[in-house]
Amino acid sequence: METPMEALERTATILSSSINGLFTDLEKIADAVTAVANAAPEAPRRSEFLFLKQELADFIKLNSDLINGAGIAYATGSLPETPHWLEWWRGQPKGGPRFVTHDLNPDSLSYYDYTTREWFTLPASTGQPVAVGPYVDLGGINVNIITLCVPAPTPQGTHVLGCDLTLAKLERVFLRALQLREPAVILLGPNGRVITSNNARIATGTLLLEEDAQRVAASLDVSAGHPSRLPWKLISLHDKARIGS
Amino acid sequence: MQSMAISSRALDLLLLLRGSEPEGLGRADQVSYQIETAILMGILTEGDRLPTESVLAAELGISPITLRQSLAALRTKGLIETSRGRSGGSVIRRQIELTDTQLQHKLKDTSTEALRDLGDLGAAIASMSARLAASRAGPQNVEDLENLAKRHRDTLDERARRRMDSRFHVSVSIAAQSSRLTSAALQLEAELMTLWWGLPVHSGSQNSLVKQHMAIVDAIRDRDADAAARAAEHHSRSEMEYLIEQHLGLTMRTEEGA
Repeated sequence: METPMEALERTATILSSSINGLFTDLEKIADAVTAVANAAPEAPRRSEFLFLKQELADFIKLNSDLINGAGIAYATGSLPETPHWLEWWRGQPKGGPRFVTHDLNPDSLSYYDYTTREWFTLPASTGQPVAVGPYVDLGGINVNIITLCVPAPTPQGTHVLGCDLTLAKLERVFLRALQLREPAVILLGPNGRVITSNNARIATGTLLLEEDAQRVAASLDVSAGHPSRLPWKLISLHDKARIGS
Repeated sequence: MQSMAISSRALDLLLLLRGSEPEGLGRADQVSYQIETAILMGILTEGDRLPTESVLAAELGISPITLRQSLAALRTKGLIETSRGRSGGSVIRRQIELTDTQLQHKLKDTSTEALRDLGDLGAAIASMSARLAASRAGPQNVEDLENLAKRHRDTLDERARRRMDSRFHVSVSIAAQSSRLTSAALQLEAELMTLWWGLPVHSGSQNSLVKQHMAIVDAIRDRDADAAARAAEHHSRSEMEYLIEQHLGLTMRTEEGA
């Protein structure tokens, strides 16, 4: 009979190998972006990065069991053509990914100012990859997502490559790995936000309640090797009844 | 076949379903979808007679030709029957029943996050509707709610009881005298109707739903807005928690079997 801790460890291994695989692939693409910029005699134009379309399309297709889109946000003022540029692609059930249009007009109600979003500012300022969320990406794709983001430093500034994990897909991976209805197990993001759980009361996107935080039985970093880029924990809870007795 | 002309209230509800249809449908398909949803929700039931084509087309704001296309599609599906002559017209033929497998599949494919989000919207609509109903409901509204709560309690068939639960929720919004809230409630209930509500639940949890309905009606009758809002929110939340529980169970069970 498997102990809950063994189930937690197995789940952590599966999650971290899936997510770290995505980070590795994104880092390869980011390296290519850095290499192009370093090789150019002056600020490269957007056309120098056209290869990204195919790279990202392949990346999205290969990982469609976890992500629903990926793209690049260019550092402010890095492109000669325009101060801000965001290219995001979203996987389609059939055919190649579709370009996601963002409203980059500052006067518009749905203005998408990516330079203020955490998924852009964090990797750009720290120079480190990180998983951001879950958060509702208003003006982006308007759904609750987690974004894995990776910096691509260049002489013109740090661009950010990222991919969007949907919570629905992550939930499937989590439940499939866990195979446990009892006790309550929660995948917890930074700041105590629930990413997914096997308990109906502790729903995705909510904050872990104080009363639940007080009955944590076991806690495990999902990615012991990279806790800063994947700040997720798996926790299991004691039964409520047992606390009372 | 005996048939009854549908009430103007059923027609009003049908009109409020506008906008619940998936995107990208033509006008005729939108109307068939609305009528199908109304049948699914029990707003239109077997034997109900639709208004004449010219009247219905005018109410729906479409041309008689478009309406004829919608009705033809419904006829093909066997949902309505049309006869000619003085006592002619279109009559609702049968109740739509999605199979357990269809409903389970849909619930399994709907993520916890999507369900929680649907539940949040449901709780927002239900609690504000109950709050407003406590200050606006007329005696007839309160009587309707009492009747629906009782019929829900006394209905044995699982699906029929589920429909009664939906109609109770929509009727709270009607009692709030708000057509926008009613429309939002209808669309939400239409979506919930396509999910699996599980095997006949043991009487314990069934009783708790009945008690929750009674608490909402009592608070509305007592004109206690805060209590009504609280009771309605609690009810929405427990229903959604139940659905998420079913979703988790289905997901895990399939994985084990695989």
